[in-house]
Amino acid sequence: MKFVTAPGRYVLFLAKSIFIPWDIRRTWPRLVEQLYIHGVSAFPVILLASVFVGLTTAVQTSYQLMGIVPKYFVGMGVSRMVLIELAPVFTAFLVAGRSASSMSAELGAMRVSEQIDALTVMGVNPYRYLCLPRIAALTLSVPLLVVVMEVCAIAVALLISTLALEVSAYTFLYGVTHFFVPKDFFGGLAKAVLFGLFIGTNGCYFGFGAEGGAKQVGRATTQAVVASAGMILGANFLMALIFFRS
Amino acid sequence: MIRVKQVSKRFRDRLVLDKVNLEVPDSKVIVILGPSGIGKTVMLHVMAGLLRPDHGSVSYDGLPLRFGAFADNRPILVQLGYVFQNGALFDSMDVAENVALPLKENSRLEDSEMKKRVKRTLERVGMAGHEALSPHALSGGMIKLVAIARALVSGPHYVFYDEPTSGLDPLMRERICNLIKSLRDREGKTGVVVTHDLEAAEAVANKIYMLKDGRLSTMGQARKEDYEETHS
Ligand SMILES: Nc1ncnc2c1ncn2[C@@H]1O[C@H](COP(=O)(O)OP(=O)(O)OP(=O)(O)O)[C@@H](O)[C@H]1O
Ligand SMILES: [Mg+2]
Repeated sequence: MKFVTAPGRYVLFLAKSIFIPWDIRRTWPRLVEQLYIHGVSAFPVILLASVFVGLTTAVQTSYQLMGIVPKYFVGMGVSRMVLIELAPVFTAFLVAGRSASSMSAELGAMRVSEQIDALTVMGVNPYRYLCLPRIAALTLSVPLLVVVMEVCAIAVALLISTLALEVSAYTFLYGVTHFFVPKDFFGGLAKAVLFGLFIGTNGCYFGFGAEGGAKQVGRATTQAVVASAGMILGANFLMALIFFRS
Repeated sequence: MIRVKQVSKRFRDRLVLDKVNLEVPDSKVIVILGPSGIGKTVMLHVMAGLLRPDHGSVSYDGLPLRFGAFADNRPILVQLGYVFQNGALFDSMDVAENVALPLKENSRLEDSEMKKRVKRTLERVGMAGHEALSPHALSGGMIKLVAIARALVSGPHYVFYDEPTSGLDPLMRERICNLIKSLRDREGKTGVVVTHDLEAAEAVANKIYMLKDGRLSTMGQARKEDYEETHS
């Protein structure tokens, strides 16, 4: 029964968190704080991952294609792979591991120590106070982090191609630009927005749902990450059907 | 006036509240007395709309409280101060920020005025000078005092106290009892205190109720002695 009603409760929770009147003066500082925690602070790990995404895709693409097609296909292969799939999904997974977990643990601890009740009883809507800035921050930061990863990964791929794979910078960039389709970029970005929304909502939803003590908070954290992973993969497939079906 | 009507609450096989009725007249302090685990906190949670009862209703001056995860009781709640048993202080904020939060979120006061009120309220509970401490640096009794300050800062009409005197030294305990009384006598505030501290109960109450087997009953002398005997 609980399983059947879960999607309904989830949607209701999301609606309650974002379709509420809020005033910018009070929400803005908390949004900035959350953008910093979940966006800016994620830079190092995103950059690190981008470097390896760039290196690996360049090596792999050239290994798959060398001798079969012209060299500029390396540039094309890397950039389209990164824009459409790798950057959005990789970034989302990293952010889910960082943020869905920390958010659900924080809110879960607030739930079990009655801090959320304390807000409620003050007449402060805890959905507006806690969930709205978090969900908004994630929905904004994931696409931005995705762009960071795209730029960085393609740059690193270009670098290794010229240094080690015998593809000149001109050839590589020709492949990147000649086959560039705006739909790839914007489709990837649209996915990122959705992933960010999921991660933020999961962190809040499972944190708010924690009831009991430390053990339940731990479980909420696991659930938030697992649910995020599942939703990212599922949505990624559906978006592929919508945007990228030939 | 707060009116609790036929409220029942069951946790699995344990009936904690059994068709409880209660009227809290304005500008009076009522005390609900009972041993640990009897349902005092559950009763206050229901009265504040934090817990949905299985049956029954709660109303404030005729305005019914709405229950459920998404209920919005703002008009009632801005008039209510609630001192949680464990304090429930926000651990991401220091003492001053904790106490200032109700003002920050519910009023349009200037920052300087807010600061003044926070300071005055902290002085009132004897916690002046601890503004910059974070909750994890406070003792149990200090947490309680800050929680009381946070509940009082916006000048609510109703104040609920869950074990306001537990964990306090005798001096502080007397101070809090006097505070509860003076809020009633000088400012006409309505108080609901739940406690197992009989002495404090007698000091502040206009009327004392006993919670036992899910039922509330007014406490007469005979039962008072009985309570003293079993809980001293
Ligand atoms: N969320 C819950 N789930 C299950 N049982 C609960 C829950 N909350 C309270 N109870 C049960 O209800 C009973 C009353 O609990 P309550 O916290 O109201 O006691 P209390 O009178 O406040 O005790 P104390 O003086 O120790 O604070 C307890 O037996 C407790 O086990
Ligand atoms: Mg209790």
